[in-house]
Amino acid sequence: MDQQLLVDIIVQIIIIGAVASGLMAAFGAMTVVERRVLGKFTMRYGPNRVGPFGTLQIVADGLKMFFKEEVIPSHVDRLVYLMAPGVSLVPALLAAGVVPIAAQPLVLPFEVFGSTITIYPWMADINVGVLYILAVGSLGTYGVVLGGWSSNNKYSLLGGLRTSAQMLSYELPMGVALLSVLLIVGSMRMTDIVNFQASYLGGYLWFIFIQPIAFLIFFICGLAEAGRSPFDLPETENELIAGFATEYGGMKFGLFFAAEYIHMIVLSFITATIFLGGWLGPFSQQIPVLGIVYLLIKVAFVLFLIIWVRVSIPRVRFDKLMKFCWKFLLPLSIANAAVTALVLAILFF
Amino acid sequence: MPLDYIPILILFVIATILAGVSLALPHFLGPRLPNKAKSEVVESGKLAYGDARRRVPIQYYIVAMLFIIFDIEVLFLYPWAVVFWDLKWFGLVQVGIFTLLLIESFVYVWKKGVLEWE
Repeated sequence: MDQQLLVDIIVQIIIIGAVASGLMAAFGAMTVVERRVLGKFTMRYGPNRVGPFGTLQIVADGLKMFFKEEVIPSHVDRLVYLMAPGVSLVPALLAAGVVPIAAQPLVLPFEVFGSTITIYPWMADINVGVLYILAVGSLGTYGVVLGGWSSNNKYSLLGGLRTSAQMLSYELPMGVALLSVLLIVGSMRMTDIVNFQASYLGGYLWFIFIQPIAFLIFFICGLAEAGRSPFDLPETENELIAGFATEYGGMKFGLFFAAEYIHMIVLSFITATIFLGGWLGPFSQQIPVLGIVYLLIKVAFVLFLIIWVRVSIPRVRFDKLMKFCWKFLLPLSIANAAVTALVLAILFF
Repeated sequence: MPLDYIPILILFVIATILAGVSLALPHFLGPRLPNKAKSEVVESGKLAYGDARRRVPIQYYIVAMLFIIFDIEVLFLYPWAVVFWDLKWFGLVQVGIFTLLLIESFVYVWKKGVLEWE
C-alpha cells in the first residue's frame, strides 16, 4: 500500500478513537452537569460531595457501573437482550462522524517517516452528510425496540413500542425541516452548509435567522428523537417503571443511558452546525482556533436549552404527542418547505 | 467517493469495540450473587402473570405503515433539493405536483380518522 495513505489512515484511527472516547467522557460530564443545573433550577445543590464542585462524581459513577453485578434475568431472549444496549449506542456515536468543527484541515509543519500529516477537523466529509445523519439517527430505534422486545416484560414491551412509534413519527417533520435548509444551500455536505452561512452578511447569515420555523421544528423533533423531556415517553418512570430499560441493570443500563446522552450531545453539535453557524463568529475566519471555541459555546448553549426545557415543561401524554407530530409539526414543516421553495424560485429564477 | 466513507467504517469499528468492552467488563469485575428474585420479571412487586408477547394495539402498525409511506416520499424530495438550483421551474413544478398528491393522501388519512389515538 501507498505509504502516505497508510499514514493518513493511522492518523484517522487515532483521531477517531480520541473523538469517540471524548464523546464518552462528554457523556459522563453531561450527567453531572445536568444534575447540577437541575439542582440550581430547583433550588437544591445537586451532586457536590465527590471532588471539587462534585466534578469527580463522573469517576465515581463510571467505576460503579463497571463493578456492578451482571444480572441476566431468566425469561429474556439472551442474545438480543445483550446486543440491544450496543445496538443503541453505536448509531449515537456514528452520527458524530460528519460534524465539522473547523474550516480548514491542519497540515503539521514537520514530516513523520517521510509523510506529511494532515489533521482534518471532521471525520468524514461525505456528500450526503445530512441524509447520513437522518439515516443513522433512525438506526437508534432498533436498540430500543430490541431491548423492549427481548426483555419479555410488559412494561419493557410497551416502552419499546411507544419509543419506536415516537421516534419514527418525529423523524418525518425533522427531515422535512432540514429539507428547507438544503433547498437554500443546494448541497447535503455539512461543510457546504457552514460555508454557505459564512459567505453572506460577513458570516452571520445563520439558518436560525432565515429558517426560524425549521430550527424550532428540528429542535423539537430532536428532543423527541433523543427521548428527552418533555418527550421522555419511553421512560415514563411513573407508569412504565423504566420503559424499555426496565429489565436492564449495571453497565447494560449504562449503555442505554450513554446512548441517550450521546445522542443529545451529537444532536447539539448538528443543531449548532446547521442552524447556529457552526464555527462562525467574530474573527473566526482569521483565527481558526477561535472557531472551535465558538462551536463549543454554541453546543453548550443548545445543551443548556435542552435541560432548561426539561425543568420547565411537564411530560406530554402519549396520544397528544402523536397528534402534535402528525397534525401540527408535519403539516407545518411541509408548508415551511413549500414556502421556502416558492420564495426562492420567485426571487432568484 | 467510496474512500470518503473509510473514516465512518473506522468509527463504526471503534464504537462497536467500545460498546462490546463496556458490556463484557462487568462480567469479569462484578460480584456474582445470583438468587431467584433477581431473575424474575420486574412488575413493581406484583407477581407477573403470562408472557409479554401478547397482542399489540393496531395503532402502532398503522403508524409504522404511514411512516414508511411518507418517509419514502420525503426521501424523493432530498435529491431534488440538491439539484434545485439546476432544474429551476421545471423541477419545482414537477415536485409541486408530486407534493400535492402526497398532501392529498395525507388529508385523506387525516379525514379517515387514522391519526386519532384512542
